[in-house]
Amino acid sequence: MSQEKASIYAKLKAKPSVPIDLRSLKPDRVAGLKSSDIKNIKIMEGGRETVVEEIFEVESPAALPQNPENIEIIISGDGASKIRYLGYKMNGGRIVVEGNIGPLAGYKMSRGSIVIKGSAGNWLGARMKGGSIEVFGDAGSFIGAKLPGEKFSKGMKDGTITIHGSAGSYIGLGMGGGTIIVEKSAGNMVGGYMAGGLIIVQGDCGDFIGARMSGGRIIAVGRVGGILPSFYIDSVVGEVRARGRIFKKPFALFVGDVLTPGRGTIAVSLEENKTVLQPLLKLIEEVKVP
Amino acid sequence: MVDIIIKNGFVIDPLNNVKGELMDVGIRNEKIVDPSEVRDPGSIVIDAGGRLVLAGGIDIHSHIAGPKVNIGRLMRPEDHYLTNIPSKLPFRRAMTGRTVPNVFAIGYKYALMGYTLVAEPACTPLKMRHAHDELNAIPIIDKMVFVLVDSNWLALDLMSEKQKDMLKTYLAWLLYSTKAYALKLVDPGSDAAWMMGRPSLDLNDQVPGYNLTPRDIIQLTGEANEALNLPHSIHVHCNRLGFPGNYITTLNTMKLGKDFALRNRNSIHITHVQFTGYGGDSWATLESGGEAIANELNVNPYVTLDLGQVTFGEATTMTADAPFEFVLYHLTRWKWASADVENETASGIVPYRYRKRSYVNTVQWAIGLEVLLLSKDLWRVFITTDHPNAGVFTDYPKIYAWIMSRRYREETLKEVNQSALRRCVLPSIDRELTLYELAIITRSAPAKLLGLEKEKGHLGIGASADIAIYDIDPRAVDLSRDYERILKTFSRAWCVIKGGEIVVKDGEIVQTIYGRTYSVDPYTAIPDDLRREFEVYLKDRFRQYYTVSLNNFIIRGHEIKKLNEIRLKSWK
Ligand SMILES: [Zn+2]
Repeated sequence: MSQEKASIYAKLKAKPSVPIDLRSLKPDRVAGLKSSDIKNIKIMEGGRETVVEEIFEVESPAALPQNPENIEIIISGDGASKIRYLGYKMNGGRIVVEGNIGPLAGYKMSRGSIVIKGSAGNWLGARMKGGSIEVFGDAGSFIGAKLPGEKFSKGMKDGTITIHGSAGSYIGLGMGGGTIIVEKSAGNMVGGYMAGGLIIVQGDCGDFIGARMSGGRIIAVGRVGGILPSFYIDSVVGEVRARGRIFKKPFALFVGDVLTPGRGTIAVSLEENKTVLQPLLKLIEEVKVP
Repeated sequence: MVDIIIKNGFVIDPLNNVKGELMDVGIRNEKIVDPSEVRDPGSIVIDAGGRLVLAGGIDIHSHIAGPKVNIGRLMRPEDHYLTNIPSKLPFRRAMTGRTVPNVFAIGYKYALMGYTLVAEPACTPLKMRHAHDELNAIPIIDKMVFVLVDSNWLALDLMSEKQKDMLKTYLAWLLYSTKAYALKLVDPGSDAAWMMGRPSLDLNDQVPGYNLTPRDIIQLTGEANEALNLPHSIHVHCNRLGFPGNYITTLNTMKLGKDFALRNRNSIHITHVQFTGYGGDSWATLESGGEAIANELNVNPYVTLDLGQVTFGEATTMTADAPFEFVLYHLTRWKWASADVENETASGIVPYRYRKRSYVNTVQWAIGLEVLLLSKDLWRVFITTDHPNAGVFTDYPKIYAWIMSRRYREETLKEVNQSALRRCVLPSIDRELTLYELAIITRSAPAKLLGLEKEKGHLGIGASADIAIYDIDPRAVDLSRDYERILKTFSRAWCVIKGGEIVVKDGEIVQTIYGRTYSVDPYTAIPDDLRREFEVYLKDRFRQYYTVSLNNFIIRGHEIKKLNEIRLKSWK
């Protein structure tokens, strides 16, 4: 079996006017196929069934390796933000998006990696079980989340989502494991209903951080909108480390949400949140406010 | 409409005493005719080649329409994820959903299994317009809806005042003005109590605010039902449903049938008996009451019952038994919807998952099968899952396999909770049903129970051309050994004909047509003077109780897509 890497280039022929469901174009689906087979993979354009070739200009080697790990799919073209379900249940290999991507990318993926050079839509990595997603732009809401109506621990189970820009609200909603890193700011309800895993927000967070969390860990390096009264303050630490990232400044640690009743922890930076934390810090005796 | 002739089918038709013969079946103008009449060269010939030919299946109790189903859809978005099957226009529309599917999926999935008539068993009068709108949108199958009367203030008033003739007239008017088919009692009196903040009632408890007990409600409604000569008997969901030890209440309710039987037939239908067949005195000591119920069924000719069989897996419980749903929510602690409908009823919806490893769920599973396998008269026991309460209707083939193959039962017995089996008699039952018996409980007997045995449930001349052909030659397969074949065959029919049109071919929907809605009109038969007296009474009470006007309450015939209203003649 050949160990060579194979790359498939799929470029949108025209800017799509309706959503494109691209769940079947993924490395583990195309492994071992001939290039003509790839062009004829069925996809949905709006409510209409069509084939890859109709929507994309496809460039690929004549035959693809059997092992999906050696396959890379590169998606480009204007209007890729209409593409949804990219890398659905993906189980190995790599997908690169040269621009923005639509909702539900990496939904239920279990292995492999997705790299998005632009921004990502909502539900990125929802119910993800493993693998990694990297976004160089911003991401929408419900990153690594469960879907509405599902039980609280049905969100992301494992794997890593790294967003170099900002993210929307409901990051890690109902997350059960894995890691989400947002390098800029995030919206409201970070880690709501979270049951396990780690969320790091290096910029600011909105309101209701960790609402109804029952486990897991949230690190808010910037400002937070507030701390819910159902969290109690545990201690103040000098620095926080997680996943190779070290934040050398004092953090207040909270445990909650007692409504669940939960044992999740939130680390909130002291410097940025003095007004919010001041009344709470009085509750711990030995604390010296820097 | 083109004539159709089915050649060389292996026909089983219990109502006409056909126990499996190679026969031809002719179809002209939505009806079954003598095959010799269909000779026109333009007619469609289906060569069944020895395949099994049955009348279309009939499901007497499946929640397929109405506000509960719709709220179930709203509160369970997760039930629909990744279930979407895109449309294939113009043949088939899009399908979605598992336990609470969309209207199209309900019609198509029933048709794919060979079912052609389904009864929605509970809708409150005020919400009936909505239920009919949904029924109108369900493709292919014929349908009907039963009207809830057990906690209706107007009915309870007349009952406690012992105005029997007025009660009969009211119930007749209610059936007519809501275009319903039968009377349904759900945990009689309990919603009236629940709306006043009281717990649910047993058979002899007092209904708060009325000089009545649930026993009286059943008795009086049953009397009215028989006097009005309604085609179906009263459809009763027993008191204390879902509580350990409730099988005693069920046995007592079954015995009531004798007291108001007027006609030479059964007078009370006990529904989803699995939920009301629990022995023991707590969830930890739960036992099966299936044997006791089957014994009562065998000696009491006035009663019929359906199973509410648990099939394991995801379900959405939805019932007008609001107090029970309140209890169930506190057991599951996930989601709960609860609603009261002004002076008529209350209801609740709670998602539930039946697990093979669970002690309680295993007992529940065993009860349904025990009742069926221990009953001597298969014309009085019916397969249901009380869809979607105990399981989804698409699991019916599993039930067929459990009752027809001891081997399949044993496979499942190995997987379920073993300590629960010690409280059940199921492991010691050897009985295996034949295809003929299956045809009785899924076709002929339900047609008879609904009083439609002239046109439904058989393949005799004059019957509706509702036919299911299954890809199996009963002479060549031993279904008791080859249970996989049962599961496969009955999940997707080879060909289904509904009202003289071919709707399923090779397990695929090939055409979208719409069936009829059956309803009864016992009101026209009531004497004029009684009707005049009643209408004066009704106008006054209705204005007192309701927030809608009487004129807006009544559903007219034109609001229903294809209404088949049966006008009853006699009145006692
Ligand atoms: Zn029911």
